[in-house]
Amino acid sequence: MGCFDVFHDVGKTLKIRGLPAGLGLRAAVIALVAVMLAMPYVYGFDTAAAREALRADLTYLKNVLAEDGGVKLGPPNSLRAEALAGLAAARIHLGLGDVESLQVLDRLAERVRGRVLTGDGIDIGFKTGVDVYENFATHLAAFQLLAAHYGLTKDRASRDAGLKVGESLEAAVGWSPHNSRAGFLILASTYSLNSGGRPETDDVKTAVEEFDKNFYDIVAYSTAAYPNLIQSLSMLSHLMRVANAAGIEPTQELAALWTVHIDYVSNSTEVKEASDYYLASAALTALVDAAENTHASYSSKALEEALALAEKLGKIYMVGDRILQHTHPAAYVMLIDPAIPAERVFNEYADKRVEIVDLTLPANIARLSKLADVSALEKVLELALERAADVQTYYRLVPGGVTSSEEFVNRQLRIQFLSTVLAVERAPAARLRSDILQIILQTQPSFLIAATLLILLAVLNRVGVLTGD
Amino acid sequence: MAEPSPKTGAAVTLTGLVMAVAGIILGQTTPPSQVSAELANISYILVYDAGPAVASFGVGWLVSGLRPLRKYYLYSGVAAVYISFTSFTLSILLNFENLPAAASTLLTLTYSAGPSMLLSSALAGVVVNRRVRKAGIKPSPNPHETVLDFFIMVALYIPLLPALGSPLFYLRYLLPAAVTFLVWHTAAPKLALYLLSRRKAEIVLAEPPKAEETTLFNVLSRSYIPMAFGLGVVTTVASVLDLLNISLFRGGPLEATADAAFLAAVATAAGSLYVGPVAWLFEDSGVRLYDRARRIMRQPSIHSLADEMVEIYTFIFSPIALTFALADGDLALALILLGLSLHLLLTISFTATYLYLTFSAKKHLETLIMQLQARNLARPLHG
Repeated sequence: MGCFDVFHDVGKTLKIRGLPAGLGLRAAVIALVAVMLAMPYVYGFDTAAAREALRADLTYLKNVLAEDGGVKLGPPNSLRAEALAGLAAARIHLGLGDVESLQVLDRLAERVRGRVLTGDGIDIGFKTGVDVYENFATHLAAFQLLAAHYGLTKDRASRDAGLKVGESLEAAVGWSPHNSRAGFLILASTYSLNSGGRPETDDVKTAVEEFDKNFYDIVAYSTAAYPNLIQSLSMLSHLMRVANAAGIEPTQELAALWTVHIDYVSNSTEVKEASDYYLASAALTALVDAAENTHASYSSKALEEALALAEKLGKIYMVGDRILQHTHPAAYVMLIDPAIPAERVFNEYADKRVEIVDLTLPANIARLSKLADVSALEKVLELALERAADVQTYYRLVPGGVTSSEEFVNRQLRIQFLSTVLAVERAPAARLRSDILQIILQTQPSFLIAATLLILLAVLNRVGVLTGD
Repeated sequence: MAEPSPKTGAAVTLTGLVMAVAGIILGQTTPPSQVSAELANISYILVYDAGPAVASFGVGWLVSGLRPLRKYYLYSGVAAVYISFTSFTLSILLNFENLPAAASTLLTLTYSAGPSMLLSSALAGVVVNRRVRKAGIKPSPNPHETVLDFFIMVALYIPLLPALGSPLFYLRYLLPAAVTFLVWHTAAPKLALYLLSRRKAEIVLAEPPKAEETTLFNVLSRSYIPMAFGLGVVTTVASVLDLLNISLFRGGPLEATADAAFLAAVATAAGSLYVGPVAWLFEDSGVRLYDRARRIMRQPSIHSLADEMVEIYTFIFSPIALTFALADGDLALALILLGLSLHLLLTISFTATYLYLTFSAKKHLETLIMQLQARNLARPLHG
């Protein structure tokens, strides 16, 4: 017991020095306690307001639900409106992880996929040629909602309907990394990863094979235009991430293509004038997607570029405590407004621009905060959170008169931001939860029995049932 | 209920082994048909969960039954903690991506074998103690009872081994434990003396002071008090602030729980002096307060409000309410977070209590009695 003697000596010394004139020691103890008290507040953002705001958005969303199962948005019986509302519910559920939002999501997803399968409000395969633009926009919205629903709930029915929409998109506008069946599976897997779940191995395998098969399509798509390059980088990054989570090795060609995309996006993104803001912030999103692949060594390059770009954008994001408006394509907000006919968005407003308050930069900073030190950029995130997380009403991101369903559009944009911030915060706990639940419910159920009996014994012992009598 | 006996233990162990073997055979002979997924699942549960759980329950029962009256169940209990914690730590430290069988074995040891052996040890303890009480005999002490507490203290740190490189480990675990011990070590007899000197009643040295032995259960039951106090204070403060719409904790559920547990540790370090060592000194010193007017003699006690803080209500309900709020109403997550924070707080208070009972308690008792006599505050019972 030699080690104990040492402790005894230390104890004695402490006692001799401590008891008679313990002032120094006491001061040291008080100082330590003060340090400990100050420490918990060093990191973390105040997300309570964000949660409250999302709950307010959910209340709003419940109010637009119509009694017949549809929504009171846009033209009557609009499938696009239902899908967009469902997407908002999916994002709220991603952020809050609660039962209430799940019920709204389930209800809307069920309705949308039912209509997709029967071809009600959507022309699968673009056979009739009637109102092609509206049909395309409906495709996009349904695609997004079904991917989110399948990813968050693993409901196979949504998978089937979503793949059908993806197939129809492939046939109508050609194969692209995001508007394809493989894109659907990747999107869904990313949702389940972000909500703390695990992607389905088979889905990821299929997606990897599809991407590998369409290798030259990806190259052709990316080289066609700069925005396409950004989209491809996002999709390739998601693919790499879900493949890693599912324990699947993407082919070397795809991995190489991914690194090339990181380089191209890094090299071709510039922030020289105000009009560069929109594309640069989209590029930032793609670079953050890439940087989240922390298992791949090249993600450090993406992270470096993302941090540099975020800093550049952060400088023009706000003045004092005022968030500036930035130029975005009109379609960016109009496509999420079901009341504006898609035909007008694609024709009349094709080249129009609108000045709106952007929330993707702060969302990306929240994601970056889990990968690197972003203390220099925290002001952006804090200001955006403070402004956007208004519980009483919605924060006006889009100037009045631009959209018809003003409240819906504004709320949708902030839901996207707040749910990203909350999902990033919740992710480690959500992953822990799903891992442990998987263990104690599926692989080691005896743990539940043993733990329950042990707690029961402890409580009975404590209240004296076992020791008394 | 039968007394733990090696025979029953061996029979249960054998049953477990038979179950595991049956699982293996089932897995090997499953025909590749439609029902195979279900059967494979059953075979997996038999091999990696139910079989080992039953077998290790049997082993625990067998060990407890070797010498039931010498508390051999303590050995199986300590072994169970080591099995669970060590395999848990190994599964973090080692990378088993290409060895699914090894990963499954570690999971089995962590979540099936360990807990069920602990359960068998606890059950054996309950059975033995009931029998002893009914027969009216005093069980002979376990030969290693005074060392097992040290082993448990070490075991509590095993899951933290992967975190050794992180400053948070030192900040959240070691520092609070050290501060708590230092505060207790320097201030306990002074506060006890001050509190006794303020009492109006006469102080009588009724019994010779007797320091609590550092056995496993003594340390465990005493370390419960500072832990429950820290939790009680933080949950009370947090719920009051919550009513005022001030949220004390930020970030995601994990960070918020870490903060809550950390504040509880700070509350333990700063405030548990009174409910912990001072109360123990009152208890162990053999001092009584004599009320001349009412002619009653009673033990000095701490304020009832502080006592309430460590009551079972505080311990069981408040942490659940708190973690429940942090987990946003998610019951499963709340229970997981509760487990994590209890481990953190138990580690801290167990360490501090162990150190205090081992290195300070005796000296403090002597100091207290000496000071009471030196200041003419107390008199012997018959003097």
